Amino acid sequence: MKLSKEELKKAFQEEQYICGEEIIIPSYLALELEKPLLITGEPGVGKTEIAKVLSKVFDTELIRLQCYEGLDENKALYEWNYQKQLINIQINKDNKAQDNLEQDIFSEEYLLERPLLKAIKADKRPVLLIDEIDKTDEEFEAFLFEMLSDFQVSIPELGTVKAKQRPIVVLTSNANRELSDGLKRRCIFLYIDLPSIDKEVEIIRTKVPGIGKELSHQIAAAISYLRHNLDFKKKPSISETLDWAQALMSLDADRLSPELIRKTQSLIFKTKNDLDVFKELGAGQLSKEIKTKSS
Amino acid sequence: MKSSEKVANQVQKFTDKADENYIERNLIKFIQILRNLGIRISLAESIEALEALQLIEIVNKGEFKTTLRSMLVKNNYEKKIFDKAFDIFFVPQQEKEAQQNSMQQQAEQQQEAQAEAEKKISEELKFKRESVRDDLEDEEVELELTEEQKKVYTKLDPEIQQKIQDYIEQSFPGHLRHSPNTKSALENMIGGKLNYWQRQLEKENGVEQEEKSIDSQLTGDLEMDRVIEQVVSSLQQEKEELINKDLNTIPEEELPQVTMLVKELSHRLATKISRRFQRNKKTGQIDLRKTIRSNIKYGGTMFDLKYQEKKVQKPKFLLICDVSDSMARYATFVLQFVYGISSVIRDIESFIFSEDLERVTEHFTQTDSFGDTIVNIINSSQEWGQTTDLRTSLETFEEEYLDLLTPQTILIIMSDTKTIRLYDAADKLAEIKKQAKEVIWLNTLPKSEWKNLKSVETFKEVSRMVECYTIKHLQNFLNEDLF
Repeated sequence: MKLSKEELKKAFQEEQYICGEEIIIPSYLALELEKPLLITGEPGVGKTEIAKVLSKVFDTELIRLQCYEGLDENKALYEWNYQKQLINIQINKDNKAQDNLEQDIFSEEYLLERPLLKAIKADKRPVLLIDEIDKTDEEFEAFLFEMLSDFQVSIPELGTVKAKQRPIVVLTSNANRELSDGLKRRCIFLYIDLPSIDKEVEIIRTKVPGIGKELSHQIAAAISYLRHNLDFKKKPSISETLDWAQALMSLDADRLSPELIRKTQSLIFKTKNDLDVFKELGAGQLSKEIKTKSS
Repeated sequence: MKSSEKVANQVQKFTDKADENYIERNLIKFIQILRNLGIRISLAESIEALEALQLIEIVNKGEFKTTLRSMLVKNNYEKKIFDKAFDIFFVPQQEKEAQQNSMQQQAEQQQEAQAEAEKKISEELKFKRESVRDDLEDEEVELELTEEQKKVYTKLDPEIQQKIQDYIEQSFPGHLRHSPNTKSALENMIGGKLNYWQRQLEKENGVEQEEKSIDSQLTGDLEMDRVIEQVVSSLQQEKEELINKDLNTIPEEELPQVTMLVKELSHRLATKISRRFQRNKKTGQIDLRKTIRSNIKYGGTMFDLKYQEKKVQKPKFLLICDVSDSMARYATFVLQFVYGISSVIRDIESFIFSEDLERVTEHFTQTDSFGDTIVNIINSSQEWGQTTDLRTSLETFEEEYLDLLTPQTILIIMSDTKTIRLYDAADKLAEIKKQAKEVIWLNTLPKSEWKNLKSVETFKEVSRMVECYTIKHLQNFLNEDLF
């Protein structure tokens, strides 16, 4: 299925992913040019969400490979089911007709497919999400970008497996380390910035149905003020905004008050240090700042 | 289509169009600008960017920009450079022409100013050779100086210029002026003076020069160079290029950015350590997977056992940082470094010293913010801003904390090497070194000053010395020097 740029934008909106051209165009180019989309940005801005939305838009499977330090081919590509192989060997221990044993235990039946192989063998073009690629080792990265260019793997015992169609690949990175030039060159780059107040209001209203206009505006203004004026270890991102909005909704709030901010502050700040930084400003002061901004 | 054919096609298209503003010509120029600004863009990427442009509405500037950005940029830093360069390069034709005209004017003005300066120099830097015969007129001899020296002269204050002129006037008494060597002797002397002033000027402008070290090159094309220069100066104005700055010049408001950079570097160090020290051949438990795989050839009988390989212990770090008076300028950086590293590497021991040594590990293991940590340390420390006595500090270390050193420990000392009892301190360090894997000295003095300092030479004999007064140095240290 091919979508035009406008159709893709509409589809993203239908899946409640509010974004502008700066996200739609790189996603569209990645789909059209069949290249991986490399997404970076602060945690919680919706990097992983793009892969989920794409899988919904194309009504296809989302195959996720969560990266971590020490991740290797065995865990990412395929592995032989050793336990099953061992049982087979033991069962056939006394069986004289063992000629085909080796062929048997290295057949697909004994193959454990990991996300990458699964994506290659999928019948319908899947979305392959390689999450937090910056957490892997350089060696694995090198292996990955080779695979991303050909979409085929060689399993010595079985032969080469080639993808029926190229999966839609989405890589995310928190930029903890610089990725290799080879990998970056193969990808379309997308940096997701924290949204403007208006965009955030739109996101809140889409993701938290039933929320009042005034409250959503106040939440967005408060979050924007906190991001730009205080020195937090972890700046509140969109996911924190939505959690906060939902919490305020469940408390039947229609506007922000110092009291409400104090009650719900733990949803915005995830470390004691950040909470202390906020306490120095105070819920009352934040409330005042929002009022000054809106007036 | 093969890539070579693609290239040929693109080049053909490009050369076919004589129009200066043809999109591909502009795009190629723009890519060249980005390259000269330090963004690596391959030929294949340029072609892909051109292909991508065919998929969008090229007349929509926003779309055009986003498309190029997605295709040519690889990280957030490059994105900033790209955005600036794009906004400066892709402007309406009229504006572009106006900018070009003003640049032309500036260049002309510069040339005029230079010619005037040359004229002034030739008038001022000369001496009078009196004629020995009454019937001949006195001769005015112009000094021949290098272009560099002339430039320095023009930059000097009028008072200093006057002093140099007086010096020429008074240097040689009348009769010596007839000597053929007078001219070259004067040139040497004035040259020496100007070289001295050049060094002084460089020192005064040191910070400014450091800032200019952004990774860019000019192309020789007036239009392209205009964009490159504007991007570079704009980046510098916004002080985004913190990395090359001497850390004592970084203002308070930019410290959070420095903290982030140092933290990122420290994180890189932490992951690097664990990646580097993978497995060795020391045996441990049986590795079932490998054993089965290897014994399949024996029909499944466990004949050849394979063992799991044990991980080698990660190296330990012990930091000793100088917070004495002479290092006060760098104290924030030193503590940023310790704070950053402590937040990602557990079990790191840290000490500060000036007259004596103090252990500060506990301050950094708490979850306080950097500001609070600094306040805690300053409040509780006796050592802040005192004179430096490394010998006493190391003695204290030996008496109380020597058991923290193991053969895996890398001892990192951060200091400008200025200490009292220099040789005693170096002897003590040599003794302590035997207990550790390695001693690395991060020196906050520029390398150019090292050769004049006895202390640097002395400590260099007992440690590996690394220049470290900017984040860039720290980055190099973590990337290359540490292992």
